[in-house]
Amino acid sequence: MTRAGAVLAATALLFACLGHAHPLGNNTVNRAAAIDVSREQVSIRYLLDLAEIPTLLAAQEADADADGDATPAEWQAYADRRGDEIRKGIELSVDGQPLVLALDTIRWQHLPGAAGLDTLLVEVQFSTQVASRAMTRIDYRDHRRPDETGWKEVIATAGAGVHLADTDVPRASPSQGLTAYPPAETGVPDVRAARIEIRAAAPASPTATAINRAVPPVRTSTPKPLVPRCAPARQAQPAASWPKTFQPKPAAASGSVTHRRQ
Amino acid sequence: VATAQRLADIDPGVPAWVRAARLRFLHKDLEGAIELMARAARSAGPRGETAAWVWLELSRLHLHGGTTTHAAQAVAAAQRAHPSLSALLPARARLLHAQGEPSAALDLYRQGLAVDPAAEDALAAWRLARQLGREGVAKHLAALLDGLARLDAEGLSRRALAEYFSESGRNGRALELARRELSARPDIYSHATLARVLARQGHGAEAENHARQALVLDTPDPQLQADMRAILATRTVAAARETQP
Repeated sequence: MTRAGAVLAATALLFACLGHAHPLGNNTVNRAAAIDVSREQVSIRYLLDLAEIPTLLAAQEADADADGDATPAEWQAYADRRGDEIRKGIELSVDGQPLVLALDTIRWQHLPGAAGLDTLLVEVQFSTQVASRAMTRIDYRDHRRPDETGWKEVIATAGAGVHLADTDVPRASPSQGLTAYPPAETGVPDVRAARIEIRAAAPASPTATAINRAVPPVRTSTPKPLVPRCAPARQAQPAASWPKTFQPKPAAASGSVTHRRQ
Repeated sequence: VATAQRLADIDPGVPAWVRAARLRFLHKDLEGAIELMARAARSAGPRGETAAWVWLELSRLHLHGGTTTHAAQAVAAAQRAHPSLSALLPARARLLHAQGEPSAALDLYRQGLAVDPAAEDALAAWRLARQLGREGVAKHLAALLDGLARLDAEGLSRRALAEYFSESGRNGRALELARRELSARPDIYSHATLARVLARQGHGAEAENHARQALVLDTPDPQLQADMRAILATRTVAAARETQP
């Protein structure tokens, strides 16, 4: 086990038994990237789930005028900065050719965490156009903050007009988009890269798409019992299943911005 | 101290020297502690996390001795040994604070907290922010300390949190934490924390008792010495007033 893994395990053990704590520890920053490939476009939905302590620290960073309070506008600006940081930190290529990602939307939301504290969820949507080919290989790599302690997952799905021939990442989110972390023996993934091979699909076939999406998740990490059995799986937003967007949220604790395509 | 020294003689090496150095410091021998810790640091090798930690311990000892130049050299050696060690940021912050640069120290503390949000460092940063009049920053640091307190079910940060609650006027919570800390870790620093908390609440006699306990080893920690002697001096003045006709 790496040092980060040991710290994560210890933190999880410490806080999971408290009952309401973040299942991965109150000082984790968790991430999930969902790559969806269609005939003409690659889109990435990137989620960040900041546990209670990083959320308190983020409030300092968000509070641009340093008056001690982060307003919704300041939180939005903070989320915009995180979105830009993510865009610069991820690398996407199609058949070896790097692609420039456009940032489409950024949303943020505070969620109730342990001991009356908030957690922060940031969702960033990117996309880029691709030329349709018979066979395409897509490589994704997340270079940002590799040592950050927390859950790191990447999933890949096929959209309209393509068939996902092969990939080294799951096709469904094991954490349901960071809303329901699997308990105990399922382990904490550290996946920051993906290889995706797609083929042009036969003319639109709802059945084929349904089959693609029904492929069971591919395990890419060795299961390790990091969270003790006393820790319930987190059910922060039962209705917010990945990859849907956020659920309705209180006006003072959430926001979103739609960006013009670049 | 004698036992630790004997162990270091029988089985010399970094762990034994570090242990003996810590004990020497606690028991008033700062010079001997620095000598042993320096030997441990040199022996730990030029690279690696262990070496960096030992250099940082040496820097703390130099700060206790008031020799910031040597402390800076030790921090620089730690940086060379393991540049990504998270403890480097608060160590550099402590150094800057000792060198009379509180604003730069605060910035470094905040950077360090983003990596490793330790209550001790959050407390130091909060004090600096208040001292510098940066009320907005202080408010966020207070929120962080309050959050850490809520999440500290194991009591790992009780000492720093007791000081924080005491200095922010939450006397009941401060006293509760300080007493529990002394019960769980009955050492001179726990006595010192309880003495400060009691003194701020006007419990002079009990504060004096714990201040004496905190000074029982005459540990050469300038902050400990200053705070405890101030409590004892206040008691002496109060006693003199009482005896005046």
